[in-house]
Amino acid sequence: MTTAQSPVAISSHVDPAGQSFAERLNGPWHERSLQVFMGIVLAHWAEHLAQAYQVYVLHWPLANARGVLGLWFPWLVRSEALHYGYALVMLVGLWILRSGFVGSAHTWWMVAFWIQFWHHIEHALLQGQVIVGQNLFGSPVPMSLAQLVIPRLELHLIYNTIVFIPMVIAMYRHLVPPEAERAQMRCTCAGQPRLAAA
Amino acid sequence: MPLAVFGLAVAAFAVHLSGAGVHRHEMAAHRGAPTRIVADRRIGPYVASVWTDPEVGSGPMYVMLEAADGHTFTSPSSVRVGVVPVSGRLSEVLHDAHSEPVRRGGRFMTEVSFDRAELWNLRVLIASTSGGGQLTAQVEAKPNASFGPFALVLSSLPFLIVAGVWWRAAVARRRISALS
Repeated sequence: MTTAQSPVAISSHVDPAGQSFAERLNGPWHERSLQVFMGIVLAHWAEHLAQAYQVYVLHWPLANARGVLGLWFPWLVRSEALHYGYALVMLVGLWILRSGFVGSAHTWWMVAFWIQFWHHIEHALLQGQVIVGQNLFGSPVPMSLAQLVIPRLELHLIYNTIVFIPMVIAMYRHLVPPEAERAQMRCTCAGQPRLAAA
Repeated sequence: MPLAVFGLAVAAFAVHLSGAGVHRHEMAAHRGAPTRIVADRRIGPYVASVWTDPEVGSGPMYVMLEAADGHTFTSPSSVRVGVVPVSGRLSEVLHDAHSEPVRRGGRFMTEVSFDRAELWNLRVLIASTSGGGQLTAQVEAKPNASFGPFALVLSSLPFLIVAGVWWRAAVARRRISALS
């Protein structure tokens, strides 16, 4: 059990001593960090589920269907603080937790990151139009590029979906890695170090 | 590195909130961009375009004005927008539009309400010291959230997908345990 792919051999890489915070996040703390991150992602989807339930089951007017947090803190939805805050958490989380992924999982994780990064380019474009006082395309309100193709509120759901899909593929490849990739992993996500501890 | 990233994120959030506080309706990136329903129509000394989000419910309507050829732009004293169902089941509601700052010409905004998905008559009335007039058009209000009840399914899928990944990972862990 001392080959490169064995649990015991891999566990020797997971030593918190002398590691930086970022290295710990992507090493021994990666599993817990990803659980927290996924909890945030699912909480956001839960807000959308609650909103859809309010509209299509409870038949509330769209303006009143603000999810759960929006009911108690309407300004969060009106100002888009909730949306933008979540978009930032996503971007930061995808970036900080990236190096814990190896092989194809890393590739998929970075696909999610770059899509989310583009989302922020769009926000910067909106912000820039407000600051300069001149809107693109003769529009009365600031316009993002994606709004030219998808000009409705579904854009928000679509962005979340196209970031979520590669992220989940990355998670799957990370939790159930091919043997070659498993040997390169420094975290507990695929279960090896617990075996070593046992 | 994570602290630097976190600091940048806090700064970006602060910039966003400052913009959202001052330009609330403009920052509503996911409300949906408005559609131009009237393009470059002449009204007195103005050329007008009208933009709105033609969905059921309340939403902003913008009247964009520029000086017509041979005229200099003078800000109108009033811009009003009237909407009424073509069916005649309701009487017309007139809304006063307020001026918003723009670099060139004029932009006037008001909130209008379409309570049902149907064809509506639209009137824009402009008054100014250099002349005025009105334009008429029709707009079809559509049901909002065109995903419909499918949004319920779509919003449920992430939970099913994550549960599936978690289950598959648990099976893989058990297999590794058995092998060791």
